Amino acid sequence: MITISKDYGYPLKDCFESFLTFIVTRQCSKYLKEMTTTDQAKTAILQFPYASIQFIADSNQCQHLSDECIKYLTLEATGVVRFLLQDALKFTRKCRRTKMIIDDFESAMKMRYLEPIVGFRLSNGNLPFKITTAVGSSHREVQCIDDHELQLDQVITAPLPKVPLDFSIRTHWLAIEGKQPTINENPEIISKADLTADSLDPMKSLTKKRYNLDASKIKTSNPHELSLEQQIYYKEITEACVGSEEQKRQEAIASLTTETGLHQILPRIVLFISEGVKINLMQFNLAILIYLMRMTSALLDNKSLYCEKYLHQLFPAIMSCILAKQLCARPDTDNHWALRDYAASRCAQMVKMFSANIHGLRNRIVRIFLRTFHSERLPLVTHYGALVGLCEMGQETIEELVFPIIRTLGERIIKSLENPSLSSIDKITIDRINGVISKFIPAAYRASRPSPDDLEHFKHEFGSYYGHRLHAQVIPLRQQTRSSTSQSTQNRQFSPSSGSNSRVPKLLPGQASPSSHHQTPGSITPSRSPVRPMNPSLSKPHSQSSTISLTPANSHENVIL
Amino acid sequence: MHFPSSSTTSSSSPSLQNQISNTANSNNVLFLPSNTSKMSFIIPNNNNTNNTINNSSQQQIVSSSNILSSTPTSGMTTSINLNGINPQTNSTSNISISSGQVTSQQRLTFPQRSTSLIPSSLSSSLSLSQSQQIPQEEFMKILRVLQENNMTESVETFRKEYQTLFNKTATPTTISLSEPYFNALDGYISYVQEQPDSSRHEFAQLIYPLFVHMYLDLIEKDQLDEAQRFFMTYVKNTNLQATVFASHKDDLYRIKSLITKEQIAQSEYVKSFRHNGRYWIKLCNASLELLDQFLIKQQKYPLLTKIVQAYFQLEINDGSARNAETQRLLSGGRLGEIKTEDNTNRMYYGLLRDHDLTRILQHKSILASSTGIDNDDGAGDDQPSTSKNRKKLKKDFFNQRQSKASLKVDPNAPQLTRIPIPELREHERMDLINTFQEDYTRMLKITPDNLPSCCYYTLLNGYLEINCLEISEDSTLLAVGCKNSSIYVYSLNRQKLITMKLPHELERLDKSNEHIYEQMMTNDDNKDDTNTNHDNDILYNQRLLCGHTGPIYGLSMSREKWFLLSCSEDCTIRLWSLLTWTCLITFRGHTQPVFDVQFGPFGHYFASCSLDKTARLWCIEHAQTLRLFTDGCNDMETLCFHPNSNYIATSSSDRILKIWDLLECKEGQQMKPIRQMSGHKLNVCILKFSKDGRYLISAGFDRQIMIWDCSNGSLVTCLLGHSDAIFSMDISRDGLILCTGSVDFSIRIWNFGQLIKDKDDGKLDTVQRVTPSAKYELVTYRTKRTSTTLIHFTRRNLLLGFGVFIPPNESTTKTKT
Repeated sequence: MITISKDYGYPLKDCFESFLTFIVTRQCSKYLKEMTTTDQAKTAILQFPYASIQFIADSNQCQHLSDECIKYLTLEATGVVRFLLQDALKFTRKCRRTKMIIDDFESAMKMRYLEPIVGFRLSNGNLPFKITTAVGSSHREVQCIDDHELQLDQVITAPLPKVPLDFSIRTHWLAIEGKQPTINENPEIISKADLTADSLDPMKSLTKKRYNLDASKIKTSNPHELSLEQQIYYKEITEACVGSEEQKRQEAIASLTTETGLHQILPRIVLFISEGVKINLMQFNLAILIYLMRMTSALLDNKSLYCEKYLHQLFPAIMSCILAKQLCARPDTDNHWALRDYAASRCAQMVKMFSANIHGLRNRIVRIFLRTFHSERLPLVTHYGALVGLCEMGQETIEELVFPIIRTLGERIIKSLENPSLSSIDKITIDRINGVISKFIPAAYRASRPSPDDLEHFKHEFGSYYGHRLHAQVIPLRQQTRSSTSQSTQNRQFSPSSGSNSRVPKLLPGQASPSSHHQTPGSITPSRSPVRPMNPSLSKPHSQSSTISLTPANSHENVIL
Repeated sequence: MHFPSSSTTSSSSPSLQNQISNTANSNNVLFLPSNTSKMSFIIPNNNNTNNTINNSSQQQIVSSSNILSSTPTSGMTTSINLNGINPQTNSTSNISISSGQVTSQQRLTFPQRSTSLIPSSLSSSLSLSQSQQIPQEEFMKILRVLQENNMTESVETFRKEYQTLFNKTATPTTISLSEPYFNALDGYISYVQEQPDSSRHEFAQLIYPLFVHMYLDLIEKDQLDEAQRFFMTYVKNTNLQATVFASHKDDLYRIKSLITKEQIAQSEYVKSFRHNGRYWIKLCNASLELLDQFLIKQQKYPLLTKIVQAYFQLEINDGSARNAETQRLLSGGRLGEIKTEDNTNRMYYGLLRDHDLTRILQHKSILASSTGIDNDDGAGDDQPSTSKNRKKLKKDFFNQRQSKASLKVDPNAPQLTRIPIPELREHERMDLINTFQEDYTRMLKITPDNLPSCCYYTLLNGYLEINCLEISEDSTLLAVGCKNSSIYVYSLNRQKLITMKLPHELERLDKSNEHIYEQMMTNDDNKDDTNTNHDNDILYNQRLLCGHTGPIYGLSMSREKWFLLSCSEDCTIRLWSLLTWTCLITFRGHTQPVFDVQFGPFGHYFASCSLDKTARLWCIEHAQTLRLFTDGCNDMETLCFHPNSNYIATSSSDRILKIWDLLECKEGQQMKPIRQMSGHKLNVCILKFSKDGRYLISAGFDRQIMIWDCSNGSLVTCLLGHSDAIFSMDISRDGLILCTGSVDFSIRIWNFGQLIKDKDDGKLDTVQRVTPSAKYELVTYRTKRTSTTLIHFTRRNLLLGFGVFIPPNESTTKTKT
């Protein structure tokens, strides 16, 4: 035990040396934790709390320290630790780190011939300190060691900590002749804005570059010269995507979805898709068409790619897959519906993605779909495609454009049903159309029109064929909504605001849509189709994207408001 | 001593008379501490209070006599106190005797400046005693006199006395104590601001050192609160922050953490700031005259004059005032700028002709004549014709080399024998020639249109574990120094790391065999087969070197890849053999952690620098230090060998770069650096000489890349561009491209050749010395999460980058802070 005289000065310093070391060892580790940068400022600011020193003195059986003594000790301890931290900074800087670690501090202590602190390392890098408030008049914060007793059994039986990984070296090309290849090891150098601008106006970026290309040069030379690696990649990817091995295809699709350096190959892949669709439409090769659509989907999902520039190639391909008169050799048995549905949802996704940047895109697409209904000559399958394409675009489109169509569509169906020579394809198509209408329309109707639902009104709006059906479907939906809303939002229902009426029904379509779409992957796979089944992972992006494509209900709300 | 004795006696004697005449009244004096800071004395006239006051006055007398008895050593000062307090204390005859002593002692010891104070205090005390009021200022003035003359003890006693007398805390005294400091610095700052724009910055140079000295003075006088107030007042001043303190941020916080006298006594910083020399300031003639006028002739603030006289050295700069930008760039050293005469000695910065293979081999005609050599190196002997041919070619080659050498004599090159360098062994020489031919013919020329490719080696799982990296000259071996005192050596190409056979096995070898070198090595081909399945793993082969007992801070590999040097926190340097993979020698000598070690360009010699404030030159054949370069009070942090092996450059913690001559200096002379350069604002991390040996390039935590001309120690330019500390640097093999790697996850490539060319053509802007990155920067490569700690050009000018991957969660905390 240390006896302390009241006056302080040099003799006291000697007598306190051990005590100080104790304080330093106890306290400085706490500050180490905060020293994360090589900032000198921190060492200067650091100041021991008076209460902490008092607490340590008390706990170290030095109860009768005067205020002056503790003040002196606080100053002294602060000074010692500041010196040590400044020394530790030297080591941190020498080791080219930006963070000071305990080892630096230990080295600094060694340099001053002090015993390094032991027992303050935890495997998680934290220091075993806790902050409590001192008992007594001054309720100030005090740091103390979180010293708890351990059961020997626990220590022995505890699982061994994870062995730290050994060093390993990984090599990659940071730059090749002044250009950083876009690989996963390199950061994304090109900003999003640049890329968008680049894809919209490639000439600008070309002229912006260091070397000045003559106008004539630009015309003749191909701006996207592919390297050998890229050529190989392109070959491998395209072969895998339309090849027969599902495993490889999945890998290729995954690569297309995640790879960051595809900018230069993108035009080729897009060309591949559009040409592939053209040819395979003629040959009724449903499988290839589905693969191509999956590639399109992967490209759209790739966050580092911007396809604005290639829409003129992508949209025709997708629209063809939606609207084609015939997609497969045996349209009555093969499941070309899945392709149409899938392509329609992609189409809706694309419209949503790019309509912000490209003016009038949505209108143009919608116009194409609508035009099909005006033509009597087109088969019912095309109507089906157009209907799905429109319905996928969301609430607003359904309300504005699909509702008026249903009447003419119904008339058309009645006409074809009356036709004695009704083909089996048309029969299936009519069933399908009915399915689509009952899937989208009642929910949309419920969301847009207030009850009561008058049958006459339905008949007037949707014609005789669909008026009945829809009326029958809407009424149970309404009841369902009421029961669910009364359960979930009782308070809101009684609120006087009339606006709640329009908001509440929104709850359901959002919930219902993913589940309703989950059924489609099952129906995608026809039993007798020569096509390999679309892999189950497809259902995931599908359902996701469909929720996305349906959610524009929200954005639509914004537009109206 | 110009204390007019007559005046004191004349002034003191009436005061004494006065006191004596007042003794009757003295008991009526009542001291009441008022609520206001100023003290007033109320002297009631009625005698009713006599009884009560009697006690207090007696106490006063006792206390004043206490002073005399308790502090006999400071009798003189005490008596001054009494002299000052005399009218206040209304002392008895006992004290008046002591005041008689005062006059005589004052004459002996008091310095000039106090003359004006004492008589005035006395005269005022006279008036005071008449007006029965004693203003506090009198007391302060006396106190100040004492303090200015460093009579600390007497100050103490005086203050104690004052306190006991007036039952008042010392707060008013402390305020007044720091007041002259505030006044003086404020006065000087306003004086600086009065100066015209063109020369204001010249005067502003003095503000920072004045500020530091004043702060330290205040702390030494135990005025912590006042000192901190002083610190905050000026550091928080945004105007000063941007101009004066910007170059010294690191030191500012260092002095802020000094809060007690003892700490000042211990502090390395104070040692190197106050006692390592004078603060060097360069001024133009006109400014110096003005300053002289202000400080010496006007004597407005004696404090300023005192500090300047004690700690400053002013140098006249030829011509008119430098511009503010140049001055700002060159500021940043702990002790100001560099004495001009320090950089006047001649430095032989040219390259050694004999060893300068690279330059010769670059010459095309020689290359053309000697292309045949490298094809048949070892096995050519059995064909006499080719060997003859080869010999002839070789002869030609060396002849040409010699003629070439005699043609161009570099006047700046040192003599070959200036620093003795071991002769290259023949096989080494041939090896060099071969490799240089092979690689230099295929060396890429880096131009703005043909930017270098960069292969990046990311070290995973090594964050906070790996301290330093080193790569061999031929880019095949990588050495990694770890925190846990181990050293790993990796082979970067697919070649295995070979081991030499044991001695008894070596003895059995046939020494006449021409494949002796291959046979000396163990060939374990069996292992090859097992390793083939690790084909994709770059760590084809690695070795662990154990021996140090502390973190490794520096590594250096000799050019022929035979030796590796390592320095560590355990104060030793070890030499490892990369053939037997064992430690050969432990070099002891440093007394503190060794921070850097580097082989000389021709091997044999190496240099080290340490926290013990020395840099040392060693040679691998001796265990003792050959040369010792000491640097007062500053840690040596980084070093770099000059390519001609005659000089080393070091950076120390006072942020001044120094170049030392390895040649032994004359007897009795202190080892002095041949060049010194100030300009960095924070510690320097990396130093490199340019390939031609003329320029020194330095970079560090202050994000500046500074290029210095060794011929006269002047700054060529300062490149800016990085947004964080720069840790690594290399110059391309043709010496034209500079490459820097930084913590901001980027590598920048600079057109160094163009810059030097512009400088020689005089195109470089000498007024605006800072060159923004756009002008000479060729390209920036960014890494994802790796700060480049080593950067290296291969012999064919391929850029290699090395860095330790920083886990993402670490940097989030970093950005938070």
